[in-house]
Order: sequence, then C-alpha cells, then structure tokens
Amino acid sequence: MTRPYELVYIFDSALEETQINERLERFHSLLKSPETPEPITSTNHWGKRSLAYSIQGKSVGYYVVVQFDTQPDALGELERQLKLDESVLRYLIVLNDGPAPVPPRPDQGPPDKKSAGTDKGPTDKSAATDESPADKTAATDESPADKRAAADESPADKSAATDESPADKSPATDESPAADDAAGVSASAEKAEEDR
Amino acid sequence: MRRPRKTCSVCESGVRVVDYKDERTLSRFLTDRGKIIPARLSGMCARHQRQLARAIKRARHLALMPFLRGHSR
Repeated sequence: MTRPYELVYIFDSALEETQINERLERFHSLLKSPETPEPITSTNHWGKRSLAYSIQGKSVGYYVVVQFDTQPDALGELERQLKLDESVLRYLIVLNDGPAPVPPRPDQGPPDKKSAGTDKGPTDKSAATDESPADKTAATDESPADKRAAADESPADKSAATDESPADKSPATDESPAADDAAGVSASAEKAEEDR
Repeated sequence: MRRPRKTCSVCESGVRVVDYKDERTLSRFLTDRGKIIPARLSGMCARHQRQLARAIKRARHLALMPFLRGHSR
C-alpha cells in the first residue's frame, strides 16, 4: 500500500543548482519500486531562503519541497541517505494526508496565496503584511490575482481585529471610570469654588 | 464578568488543515518572543490549536520560524 508523503529538504546554499538536482535524482531513485514507477507527484524549488536560526553555522538554505507516493518501507533507506549526505542541512518527511489537492474554497484560492507567499522574499512579505486598507488600494492598481490575494487576507485581518477587541475593551472600561473621576474632580472643584 | 467566547480564526477562514509551510500565517499565533499563544488567549478551537501547535513545531524544525525570537549573539 502506498501513502502520500511530503518531504522538505534544506540544502547547503553553496551547492549549484545542478548539484542539487543530481542529489534529488539520487534520493528519489530510492523511492522507485515496481509498484510505484513514478513516485514523485510534485517538486517545488523554493530556492534560497534565510534561515530563522543558523544550522551548522549557515544562515541561508536552499529549500526544496517534494510530494511523492511510496510504500512506508522505502523511507528507511531514504532517511539513512539523507542523514549521510552532509549537504542536506535539514529534512522533514511527513504524511501528506491533508486535503491539499481539493482546497475547500477554490474560488478564494488559498493555494494562490500560499504560492505568492512562498515565492516572495522576506522583504516582500513585510510589505504584504501591511494593513488591509493599504493592500486594497494597492491591489486596485495591480493585477486581478493580487486583488484576490487581498480579498483572501481581509477575513484574516477581520479575525485579527476581533481578537484584539477584548483587549481594546478593557482599556476603554479602564478609561471610563477615570473620565468619571475627572468629571467628579472638576465638579468638586466647582463646589469648592461655590463654597467660597 | 464573563467575556463571550472568542471564535477560532482558523475555522472562520475556512481552512481545514493548518499548513506548516505557511509561516506568515503561523506567525500570527506566536508571541513576540516566538512562543505559541495558548488557546485560552487566542480563542482557537481544540482541533485547530493541536494542528497549529504541530505546524509551528514543524516550521521551527525547518528554520522557517525561530524557536526563540529576539535572541542574538
């Protein structure tokens, strides 16, 4: 029985593209078996990305995401080879049993958003995480795909707003007694003046 | 006084499975130090909190997000 897996490699960024492809071919040949002549279903090169923390003294890695179908027995040898190869800084093999092939709302296109997010560099990301009004105005200038991305982000922004609302409330409730106090003080001050 | 139950923002967005590769979305559920925000504070439903925690841990392993933010040598 074959199962769907997802494998993320982080290669040393010093490697050439051809060297990486050569290694990918070598690893993927391990997955081939009579039952799975074509194990790889998709390969996605993210390219060089800065790491969130240094791994083996390196701050940049070359990411490759591969989806494949294979028998669980084949993974042992693959993992052994991945561990032996010094140019693989890190890898992750997980079962890919999520509903990724069938997105729940294809019209809103979460895969679009995802691909846009992964394709862009970190600098673009910070721009993209701007607040919704800015995004909307930007999106009207840009292509329809970008518009859709902005539309996707707006519910998230809304939910963020709802998350913040209790926090917003509490300062408001804190302020109102303070305002009352101020009013009370001024009233008492007026009284004092009247007494004179 | 009881606050009304906060709603799970992942449920609201219509996402069934939290993706560990989407670190931009995941980072919304971290404190500024990089800790996972508990469901008690974020209002996540139990299923999505579990998925989220696993996704964040995978993303950390892949150096997509830090174990600890604001730590520099």
